[in-house]
Amino acid sequence: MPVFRDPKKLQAHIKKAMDALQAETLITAQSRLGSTAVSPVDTGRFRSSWFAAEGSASSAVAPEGANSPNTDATGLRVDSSKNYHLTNSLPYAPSVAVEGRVVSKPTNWFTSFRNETIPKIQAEAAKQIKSEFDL
Amino acid sequence: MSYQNVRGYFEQACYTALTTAGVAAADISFDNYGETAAPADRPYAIVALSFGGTVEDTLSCEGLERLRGSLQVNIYTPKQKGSKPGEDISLEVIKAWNAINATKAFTAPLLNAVCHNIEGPATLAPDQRPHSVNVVSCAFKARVS
Repeated sequence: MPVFRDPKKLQAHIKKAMDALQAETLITAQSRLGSTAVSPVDTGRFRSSWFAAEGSASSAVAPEGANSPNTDATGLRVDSSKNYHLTNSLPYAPSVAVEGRVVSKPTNWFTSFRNETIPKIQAEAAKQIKSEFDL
Repeated sequence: MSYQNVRGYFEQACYTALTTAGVAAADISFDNYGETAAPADRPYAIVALSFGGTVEDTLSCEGLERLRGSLQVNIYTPKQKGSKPGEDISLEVIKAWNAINATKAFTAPLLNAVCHNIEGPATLAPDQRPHSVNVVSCAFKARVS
């Protein structure tokens, strides 16, 4: 671990690491949700409609015909002191995600993602950032 | 591998709660059965359980297994009857999950079972179907000898 004589430099180093951790978690979670391995796919519009936003949920949806993961989280300047939302605002999203009314995935695919995959993404991101920032 | 012991334990708890709440046994589906909607005037439920965490063999304790996963119960109640029927059934399921957390005695090979991240009931009435949906879910952990 690097040695800091100036507490402000230590604070800045940790803040930078926390920002990177938040960004890594957000980008990875969006990427996973956009993959066919996680999101159920019929036309592909649903998996393309996971939008990232700072402060409040986005109401954007992917256009008809879209069938690729959304990567707008990579364009955010992530600040660990702020809140970030990943949302899918398609009208049928609650039915697909909450109810699990899908044919290509288990009914509880989203519950599983939230309960099991997100903690793994967070743990992996923490490991990566610790190594990157020598913490 | 003890998937069936764990699946059976949690599914039995859900089944008992649902029948106690008035859902007919024939109207409860598990995720290894096809969904069959009950008639418009009757509630029905779908129980989905999946294992997400890998098995961790604790070799020093003679091969204990820790299994993790997710459990979701979709409760469908006839529309135009208010939110009470769905929420009452949801409550029975949540009570059953909390009862698991309070349980100290388990039947072998199950040594321990816990439900956490209990969420719901989330209420949906998304389309033209004659039922509203209440969704309750949790994550679980179980230890098996």
